[in-house]
Amino acid sequence: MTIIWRDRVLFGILLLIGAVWTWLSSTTIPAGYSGSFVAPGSFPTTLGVLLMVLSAIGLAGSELKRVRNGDAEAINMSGLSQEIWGIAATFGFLIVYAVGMQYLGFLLVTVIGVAAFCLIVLRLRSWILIAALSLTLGLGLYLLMNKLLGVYLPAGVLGLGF
Amino acid sequence: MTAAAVAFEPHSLLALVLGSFFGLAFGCIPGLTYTMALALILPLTFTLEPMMAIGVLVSTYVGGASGGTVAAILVGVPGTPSSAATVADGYALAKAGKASITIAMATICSTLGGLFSLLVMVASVQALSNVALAFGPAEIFALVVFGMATICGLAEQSLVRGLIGGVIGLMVMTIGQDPIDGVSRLTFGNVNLLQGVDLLVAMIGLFAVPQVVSTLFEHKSGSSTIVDGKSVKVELPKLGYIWGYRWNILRSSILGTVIGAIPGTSGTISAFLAYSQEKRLAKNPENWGKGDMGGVVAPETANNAVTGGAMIPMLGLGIPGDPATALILGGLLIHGIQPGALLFVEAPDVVYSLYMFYGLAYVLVTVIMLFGVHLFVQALKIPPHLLAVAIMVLCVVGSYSLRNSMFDVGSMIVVGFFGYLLQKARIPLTPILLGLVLGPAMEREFRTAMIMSGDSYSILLSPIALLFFGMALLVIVMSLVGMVRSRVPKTA
Repeated sequence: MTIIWRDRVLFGILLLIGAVWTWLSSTTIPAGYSGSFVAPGSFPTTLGVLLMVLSAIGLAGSELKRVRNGDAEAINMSGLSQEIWGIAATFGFLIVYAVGMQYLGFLLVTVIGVAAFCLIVLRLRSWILIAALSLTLGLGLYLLMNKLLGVYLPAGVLGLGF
Repeated sequence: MTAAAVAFEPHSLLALVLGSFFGLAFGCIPGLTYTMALALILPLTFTLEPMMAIGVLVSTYVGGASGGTVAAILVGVPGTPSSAATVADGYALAKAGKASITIAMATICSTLGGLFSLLVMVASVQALSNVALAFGPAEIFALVVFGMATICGLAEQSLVRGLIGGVIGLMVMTIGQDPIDGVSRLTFGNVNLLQGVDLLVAMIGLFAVPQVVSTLFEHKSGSSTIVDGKSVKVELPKLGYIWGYRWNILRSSILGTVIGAIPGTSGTISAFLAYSQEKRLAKNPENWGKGDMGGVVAPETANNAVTGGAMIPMLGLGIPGDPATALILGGLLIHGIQPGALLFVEAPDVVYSLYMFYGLAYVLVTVIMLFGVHLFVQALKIPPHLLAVAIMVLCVVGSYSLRNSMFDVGSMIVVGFFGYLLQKARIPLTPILLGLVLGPAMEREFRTAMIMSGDSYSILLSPIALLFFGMALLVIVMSLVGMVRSRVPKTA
């Protein structure tokens, strides 16, 4: 994929988002009660239009660039598989951890989750390091938040989260 | 003298130490804010003596305002919204092995900014509180427009992409309950969306998540740089080095104090304005965002100068400048202290004790931070992929603990995903953040001004509003001229 094509896709998607946003803002937001002509939908609608205008300028700019410099400059795609791995690892952990916290509670899910991530995803083999990291994060944050700062973290619906 | 005696009593000093540590802890952890620290510690002060309670509240405020810097510099995640402007240069400096000197400079500048605002507060609390009253919705709207104009300076390479970032930030903040009429906007019947996307949740998603992805990518591709433990040195700035930034510190202090004195503004706005102002005045603005100490000095000085500025309308008029001072005001009222002009006549000892506590809290926080630098920089010795695991856990904990809501955790993950995609598409993240910060104030103040004037635009033509509109226009024109000049090939 070339840089020009990437910009076309980006600004095209943003133009579409702007159009959908404008349509939703102007059709779904009810009129207010203040009596002012600046209604609750005015600000979001204006922003949607502004996004469309800026995206159109961006599209025009990328076309101008193509006319001037051609469409030969390709995007560096090396390391794409590692990048996808990084995305999957990050969002996979965040989602599983957040969902698990509701059922198992903060302490249990942190100790198990961090240990599992280190072992399976990061492929760490030092049990001491894995135990130290998972217990420090789990117990340390639990004591700091729940006991010292008075900010309570989820205990879990199964009642195992202390 | 009585105030000094009260401030130096052992139990007062103990209150200051406890409050400072409590505030610092909340400031350091991304997701926890000093407003939350004040809200949590306020009930604990009910049983204390009034002076001790004031000491705890003031030092928590000061500690929290200073603590956000540590996370911003060491891990690239702002501990508090007001330290967001520090991330770009602070984190770049830390990666270049200058973490300790950066934290120390940020601490010293925060203290200088805070003490400057304290002096202004002492000298002019009654006079300045009248100036603050001249700021109505139209003037605050004009100030926010001026703040938005700084996007031009933060847009990095492409103005269009920077503006798109700003618009996206503004759009996100319109989701939820309308600030004037209370009707729901773009929530599609989802009750959780009524409260909107929290600023701090969005910040954690925008700054922390993309960074974790890139750290794990580098780990997988074997290109991650593990800092050699021996190379992590503790270096503190010399007096001459600090003196080199004197004008930056002075300008940012004045800006922070003035903005703090205007009710409805915040440390985040002043930090971004100071950053933008100093970048424009810098000799080498092209280095800003890549690790220039000036980019740490300006926002840190300004966001702490707000603390004293925000106390000006609170003490002089009984109007809190921001949510944190509203909580302090609540604490004072509970102890039978009524801020306002009469306080200076009826209970001058309370006012002077507050000044003393304020100054002492800053000195104490500076000492703790400068000693703590030795401990903080040890975090750099941790391999980045292990630090990434800790950051992910902190992202979830920080987002959840804001409102005890799993919905906020989900919002953080979604914002993080889109933040990553936008970053890959070369949409700069700082304008998005500026839109998130300024969006609610911009809409609220404009619509209030319109309602007050019966939909007449003439309300926007007051001298103060015109001054800010003029300054916004000047910033835009200067940025455009600068961009055009930088694109014209230089001839030898």
